[in-house]
Amino acid sequence: MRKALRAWDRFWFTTRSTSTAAVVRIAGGLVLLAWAVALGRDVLSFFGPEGILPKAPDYRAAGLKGIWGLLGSTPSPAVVIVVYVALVVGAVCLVVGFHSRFAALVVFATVVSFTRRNPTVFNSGDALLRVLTFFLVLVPGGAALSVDRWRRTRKTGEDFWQPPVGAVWPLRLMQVQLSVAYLAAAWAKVGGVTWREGSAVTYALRVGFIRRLPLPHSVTQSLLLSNVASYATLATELALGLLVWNRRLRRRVLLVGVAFHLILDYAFRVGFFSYGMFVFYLAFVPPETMDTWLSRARDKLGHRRAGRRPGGGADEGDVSTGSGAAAEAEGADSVAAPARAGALAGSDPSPRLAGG
Amino acid sequence: MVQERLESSRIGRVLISVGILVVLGAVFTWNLPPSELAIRTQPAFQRVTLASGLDQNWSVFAPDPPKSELDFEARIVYGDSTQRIWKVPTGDPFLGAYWDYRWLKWGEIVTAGIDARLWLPAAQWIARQEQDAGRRPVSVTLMRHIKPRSLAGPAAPQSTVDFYTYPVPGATDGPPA
Repeated sequence: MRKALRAWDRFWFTTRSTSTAAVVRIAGGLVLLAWAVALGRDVLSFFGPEGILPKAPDYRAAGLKGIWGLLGSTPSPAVVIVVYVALVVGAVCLVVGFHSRFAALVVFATVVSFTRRNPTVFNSGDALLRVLTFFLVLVPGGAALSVDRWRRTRKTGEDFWQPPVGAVWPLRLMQVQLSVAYLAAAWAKVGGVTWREGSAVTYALRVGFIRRLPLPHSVTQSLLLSNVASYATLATELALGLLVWNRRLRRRVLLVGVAFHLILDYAFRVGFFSYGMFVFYLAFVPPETMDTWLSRARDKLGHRRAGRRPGGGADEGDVSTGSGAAAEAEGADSVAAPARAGALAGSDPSPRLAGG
Repeated sequence: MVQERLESSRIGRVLISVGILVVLGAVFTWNLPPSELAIRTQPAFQRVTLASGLDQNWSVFAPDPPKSELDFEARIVYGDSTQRIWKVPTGDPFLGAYWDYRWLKWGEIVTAGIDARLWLPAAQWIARQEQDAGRRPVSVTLMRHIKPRSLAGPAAPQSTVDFYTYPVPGATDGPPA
């Protein structure tokens, strides 16, 4: 029992650099900002009192408990616009990390409100973004690479570019969510005849209204290619659901996932689905690797920390940079390296996260 | 700051662990396939799942992609008996695809006939768009184009079904403006 509790504690509460959390916040904020901007042209048609659904569905009558929203059942155009502006401002604040936690809360509340007000205009990808907003409230994304961090470092003299450490449990929840989503998707498909016989993809590609960019007729109509693509889709979803937990295979599995979603985004009008998935993928990037990437990016931008540090000399950031490079070379993960993570946390001169 | 303090104390980690278990329960039970287990567990987490927005649906093209395509259109009749076909708004395949998918989703749901309560507001909205453009429609008829898809041999012929007609109140005879 003690062993299990220790494993639980290690899995959820290991402290690591918050760089991954920060990048998840920025990427999530950008996707949600784009989502909000794309919604702008239709906001009154979708949610206004003279729109395509003047009154929100009666969820209580449908036996659904717990549903809430800022828009109510029949909001006035002014209320719709106020909530929409709050969404856009919240998303901008999330990207730059200004009052990050509050911004995440605003984005969460507004996205939930819009999706509840008129569910007929949203697809599974939009639901994914709503789920993402929930996790962004939990993720300590403002602890690094943010206006919040900059303001704090001005007061304390800490190095802006040295991410503080924090517990990994919010990112772990995102990882579990991603895994469950792919397993549920694969499970839903194996129940279908066309997926089992391999014809599903050609049927999907023949649905004209959802097609996006052109594919050769020989591709969309080929039963042989459909067989390959259908089984590859099932294999990809199963791999993303299961093998993503394997340290050695994770990077390859996620790269296959990126290719899979880019093809999906090319072929179908699925909105922001693929980009939402990519944000969840980022939760699997080990913080040490993220530190390395950020360090390289910072160097390219010409930032020189040593010159700004009191005393100069050896750069403490080199500790995490070096570890990050090693971790990257090993294909290190954010799940199965608790001992190393603990050692890193122990030797990391960064403060624990604050704010964000 | 609150999160940091919670994470660094034993009691705080216990509280967070309870929260983690609740979130996991919400995610897992919602994604269970239809089963006795789902029937028994989902109600316990339903309130949390819906309040947190964690409800999700991964049945994309599942269990099977549609074997026939349903297109949504509307026939608008004006006072002088002339007609116009209204189509669901669509954008270009590049940037337009990031807003028009919502209209396509709506059109799919209206056409599928899952909820007839969507038809009247849909027709009213289309009529209002016409009026805002200075035209005077007398009726809006919602139509479903059915295009069967066949893997072998010729597909069955396409068909069109008028499934709802909305007589625009107060419409006066006369040509469209």
